[in-house]
Amino acid sequence: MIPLIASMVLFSIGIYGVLSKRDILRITISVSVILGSITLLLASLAQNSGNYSFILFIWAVEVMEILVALAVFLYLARSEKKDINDLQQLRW
Amino acid sequence: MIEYLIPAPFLLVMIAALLWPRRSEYVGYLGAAAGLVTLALVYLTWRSGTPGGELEWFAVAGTMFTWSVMVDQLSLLLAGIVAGIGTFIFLYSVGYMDASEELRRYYAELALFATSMLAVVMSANLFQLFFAWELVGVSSYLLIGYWHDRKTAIAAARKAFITIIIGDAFLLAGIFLLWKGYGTFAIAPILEAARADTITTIAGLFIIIGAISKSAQFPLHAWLPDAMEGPTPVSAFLHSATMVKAGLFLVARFLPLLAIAGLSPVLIIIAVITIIISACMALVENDIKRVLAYSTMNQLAFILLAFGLGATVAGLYHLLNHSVFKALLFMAAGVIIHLAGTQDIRQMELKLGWNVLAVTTAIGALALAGLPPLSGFFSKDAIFEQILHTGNAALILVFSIAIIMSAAYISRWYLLIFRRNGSVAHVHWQMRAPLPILAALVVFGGLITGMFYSWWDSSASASLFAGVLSTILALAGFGIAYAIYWRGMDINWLSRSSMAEFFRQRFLLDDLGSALASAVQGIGKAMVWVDTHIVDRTVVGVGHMLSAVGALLRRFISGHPTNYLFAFVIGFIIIIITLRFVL
Repeated sequence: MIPLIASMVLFSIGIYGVLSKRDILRITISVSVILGSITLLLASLAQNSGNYSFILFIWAVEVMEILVALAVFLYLARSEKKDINDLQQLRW
Repeated sequence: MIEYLIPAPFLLVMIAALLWPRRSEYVGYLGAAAGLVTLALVYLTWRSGTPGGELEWFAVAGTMFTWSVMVDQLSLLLAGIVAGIGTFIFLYSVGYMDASEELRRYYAELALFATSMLAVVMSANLFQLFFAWELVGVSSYLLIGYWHDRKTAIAAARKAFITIIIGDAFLLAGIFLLWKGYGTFAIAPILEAARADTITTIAGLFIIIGAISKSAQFPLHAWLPDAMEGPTPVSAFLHSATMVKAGLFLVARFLPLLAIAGLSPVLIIIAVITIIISACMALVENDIKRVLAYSTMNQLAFILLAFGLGATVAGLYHLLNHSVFKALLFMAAGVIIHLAGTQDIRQMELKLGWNVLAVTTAIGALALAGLPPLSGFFSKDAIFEQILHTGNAALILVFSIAIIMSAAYISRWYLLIFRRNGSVAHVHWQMRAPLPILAALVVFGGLITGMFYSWWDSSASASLFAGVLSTILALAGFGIAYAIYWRGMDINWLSRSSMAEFFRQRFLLDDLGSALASAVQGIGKAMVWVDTHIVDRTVVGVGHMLSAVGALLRRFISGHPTNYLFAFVIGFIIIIITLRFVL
């Protein structure tokens, strides 16, 4: 039960971070926290089934997510925009 | 193939009138010449006899519409009338129309009028007939409204056109019904195969409605008196040869079918009502041309009555005679208006004497009243004979009264015009020339009676009794008018009576028509209200609604990723809850 509760707490913290922070770096960190909570959930569930392969998928997704996020972050850092709400052009 | 050329001369005149930049009086002479050429063509067609083949016009869904010519006594008679009267009309127009005006339009429309009428009478199939029929209506509309800067002329033209269009719609429906019933547009096969069934009866009724709208018979007669707003030569042409004769031509053409379908009583009823109301209105009318217009209604109703009784030849003979004397009367009226400077017969000051105008007008008026030995007597007598033959007391009474009244109104007209001594102004020779010629035709027209009947393989059945009786009746009419308008018998009590006022109000039929028109207009206004307030608002409302929804949705598309994420999370939670608890 403890890993499940820990996973839920981590997930909630991650969601809170994504929704409340406006700095893109903090949001990226929060997304990573969410993914970490999912990883923890899968790992705890895998104790019963012995199937750890999904964790590898999560890691692959996390690596790509970090890559894309860092690219956006670098671009923003050059244009001196760090607030995510400055990215309104993305809606078009 | 010579019969195909019959409408051609007037068509060429129309083109010439449009192309000829000035000196339009030459077009008038050209038109007169075209009338003579057409007359010659009609004569040649009559001599050569057999009609040619048919020309392909267009095809719709496997049905070929053709352009073909029907040559028989009826079409030749009408074509001859149009050509002969047309000659005089064009000549008269040269003198009548003010030369300073731009007359290209006038002559072009007049030539179109003649061409289309010739096309109507020569038509061998219904679709072609309808096509030409519409052209007659359009050119009459254009000519009635020729003086388009006069409000009354415009109103009269519209009134005529709308009335005619009502008839045209019925005629078209009748044509299609006949096509449905007989599978062809060609007239001759339909007449041969005519049978008494529902479709034929309805089609015949529709054809009668189409005919009476053109011929100005009750209840579609209201346009005719107003049509006097056009130039006088146009009125003369319209009344003697083209427009109103088209309707009678149609009835005559379809008379076998109408008789088989049992519609003769309809013709008789329409004719009787028209005879009574037109005579009453003519008696109280004071406009010189309108009296003649009502007399045309009256005379056409005589012809229609003859058709209804099956006396086709007598009716057509009266049609021929009426064309000549009505053209004479209208042309004389044009000269009189020119001399008197007014159209009100109460204010005319013309000299009664042995001058050309007074004598020729008297001949025309006497022919209209049907006094021997003028042409009008012979044909009217033939119709009267036919009516006496039926033995129907009511019909005999109505017709006897009609003879008295027509004699009375035309002599009232004449006596009021030539009542006083007046001066004589100059009149162009083109206006004077047709009068003696037409008067001579009226005087000697009776001589061809036997020839006319034998041409139709029929024989004149004149009895002394009918002739004497109709003469006495006409003389009685004269006597009444003479006593009142020449000897000055006091009729104030009569002319001030509410009955006379009722006649002057045209039996309130025009008011009825106006009320009907207002009612239709009211429906139209209601429809407009529905359209603007309901249909338009619905369409515009849908647009407004969509843009309001858009404005609402636009607030969610803020461009702030945080908002999107929040919405995403909320939506996700809702989905989870739905999946878990609701479904």
